[in-house]
Amino acid sequence: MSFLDVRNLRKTYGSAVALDGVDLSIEAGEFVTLLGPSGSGKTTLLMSVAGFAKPDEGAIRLDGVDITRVDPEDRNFGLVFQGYALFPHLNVADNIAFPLRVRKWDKARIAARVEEVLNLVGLDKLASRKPRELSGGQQQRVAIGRALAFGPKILLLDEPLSALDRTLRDIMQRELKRLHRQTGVTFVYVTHDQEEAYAMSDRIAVFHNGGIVQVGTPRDIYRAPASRFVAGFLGGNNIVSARAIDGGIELFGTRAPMPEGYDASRHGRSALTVWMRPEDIAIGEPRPGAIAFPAVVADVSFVGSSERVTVSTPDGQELLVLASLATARDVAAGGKVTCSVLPSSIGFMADE
Amino acid sequence: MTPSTRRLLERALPKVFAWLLLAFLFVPVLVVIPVALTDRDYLSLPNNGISFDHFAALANWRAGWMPSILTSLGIAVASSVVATAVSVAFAIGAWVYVGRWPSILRVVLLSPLIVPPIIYAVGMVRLWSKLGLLDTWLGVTIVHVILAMPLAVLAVGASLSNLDPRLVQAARSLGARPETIFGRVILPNIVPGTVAGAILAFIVSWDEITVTLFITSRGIVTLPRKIWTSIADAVDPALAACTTVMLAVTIVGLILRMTVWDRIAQRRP
Repeated sequence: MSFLDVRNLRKTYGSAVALDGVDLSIEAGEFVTLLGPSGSGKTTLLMSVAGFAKPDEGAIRLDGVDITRVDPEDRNFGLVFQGYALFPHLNVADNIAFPLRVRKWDKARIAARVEEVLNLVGLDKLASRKPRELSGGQQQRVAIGRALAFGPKILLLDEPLSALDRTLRDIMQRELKRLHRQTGVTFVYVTHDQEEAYAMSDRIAVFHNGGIVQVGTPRDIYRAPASRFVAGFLGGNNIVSARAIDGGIELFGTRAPMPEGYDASRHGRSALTVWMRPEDIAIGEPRPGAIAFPAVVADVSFVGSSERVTVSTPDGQELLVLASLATARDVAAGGKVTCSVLPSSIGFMADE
Repeated sequence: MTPSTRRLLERALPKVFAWLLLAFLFVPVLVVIPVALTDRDYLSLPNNGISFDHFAALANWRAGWMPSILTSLGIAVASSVVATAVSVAFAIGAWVYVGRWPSILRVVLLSPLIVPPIIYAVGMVRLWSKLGLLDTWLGVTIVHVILAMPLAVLAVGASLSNLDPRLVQAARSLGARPETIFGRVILPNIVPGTVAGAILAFIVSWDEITVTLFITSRGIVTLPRKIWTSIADAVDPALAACTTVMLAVTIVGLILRMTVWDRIAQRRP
C-alpha cells in the first residue's frame, strides 16, 4: 500500500468530464508532477486531493485511511496557489504564523517555528514586510513557507511558478528541489511546462482528457513516450509517417531493415507513425548502421547551445534537427544535406 | 477685441463660472446661519442685532426638536448597523459563491436605487397598514434598512472585489474554520469599505423623508419630518438653528476626516 492512493477517481462538471477514472499511487517523500495541457484534469485531481473538489466516484486514501470526504481544513496538506493567495493585511512572519495560530500553538513555539521557516525559505530579513512590498519570487517563498510551516504530510503546488520570469523560475525550481530534499515532505506539483516537470520530479504523470496516459520517471517519459499525445505534448519531438514494406521500413523514401520494437498488431501493418528526437538526427556523414536520407534545409535558427535546423524530406515531411554549432556551420536555408538516424532512435506509436 | 483682452477673457471666464457654480451650491446652505441668528419670531434675516434664542429653543424638550433628533439618531444607528451587517454577509456570500443566484439577489438588493421612493412609499403604506407597522419604530427602521442596503452593499462589495477569493481556500488549507476565516482573513481586509458602508447607510436613514412621511404620523417624528412639518405649518427660526447645528457638525466631521484620519492613515503604511 502506497502513501497516497487515488483509486478510480471520477469528477464531472455538468457535461464536461474533468476526471475519468484516475488511478495514481504516490510514495511518501516522492516528488510527483501532474503534467498536462489546461483542461486535462491535473488541477481537478490536485484539488480533489486538497479536498476542495468533491469527486463523484472513487476514493483517495492516505496511509490506508479513506479521506475522500474529509474537509480540506482537516487534511493537513499544504497548498500553494498560482497567485500565491497571501493574506494582504498580514506581514511575512504573520502569514507564516497563521496556520500555527489556527492550531493554537503557544507563543514561544510559534516564534521559534516562524524563525525556522523564514530561514528555510530564505526570507529572514523580510519578516516584517507586507506581501505587496515583495517581488513575485519572494511572495512565492512566503506562500511555500506558510504551507510548510505546520509540518504538512503532503505539499500540493498548483502551477506556482507560472507567473515568474524565466530566470526566477529556474532559481525557484532549484529552491523547490532543495526544500523537498530538506523537509522530506511529499510534493505533488501541477504544471503544463514539461521542462519544469523534467527538472524537479521523481515521477511524472501525464494527463490528457481527464485521464493519466503515462506515469514514469522524467527520463522514461522523455525516451519512450507511450502515445502520440505524450510525444507531441512533451514538445520538440518529430512525429512522422513511415510505411512497413516486405518486412522492412520505408522512411522518407529510403528503405531499411525494420528497427527493433516494431509490433504489427500494435503499431499497424502498413501505415506507421514513428517518432524521433531532434537531437538524435545527424547531419552530414552517416554513422555506421544509420538510416540515411537526403533532405533540403528549410530554415536554420540559432538557439544558443545549438542550431535548430528544419529540413524537408524527399517524401515531403518536415523534420526538426538539433545540430551542434560545428556540424551546422555549412548549413544554410535552401542547401542540400544528408541526414541520418540510428534505428535504435526510432520509436513506434500505437495505432490510434 | 485686442488679443490681450481676449487672452484675459479666456483665462478669467472659466474661473468666473467655477466660482459662480460654487456660490450656487453653497450660498443657499450658508444663508441658514444668519437666519438662525434672527431676533424676530419668523424666518428672516436679523433686524435689530442678533439673538441666540432659537438655539435655546432647540434644546427645549417640549419644542420637539430634541426628541426628533434622538429619534432620528436611534433609527439611523439601528438601520446602519443592520444594513451593514446584512450587506457584509451578502457581499461575502456573493464573493465566495460566484454564480447566478448572487447576481439576481444583488439586483434585488440594489433595486431601491432604481425604484422611485414615492412608488416604494405607496407600496409600503399598504403593506405596513396590513401588518400594523405604520407609525412604529420597527416599521421605519425596516424601511430605512432596505433603503440603505444598496449603498452598503456597493461599498462592501467594492472592498471585496480587490480581494482574491482564493484566500478562503488558502485559509481552509491551512486549517482555519469559517469563523476564523471571517474574523482574521476577510474582516481585516474590508474594514474601510464596511465603515464607509455604515456611514452611507447612516446618512441615508438620517435624511430620509419621502417614505417616512407616508408611513409615520404622530408617533414617530424623525428630524427630517420635524423640519418638513415646521416649515409647512410654521415659520419657526428654530428650523434654521437646527440646520445650522447640522451644518456645523458636518463641517467639523469633514475637517476631522481630512486632518486627523489622514494623519493616522499615513502613520500606518
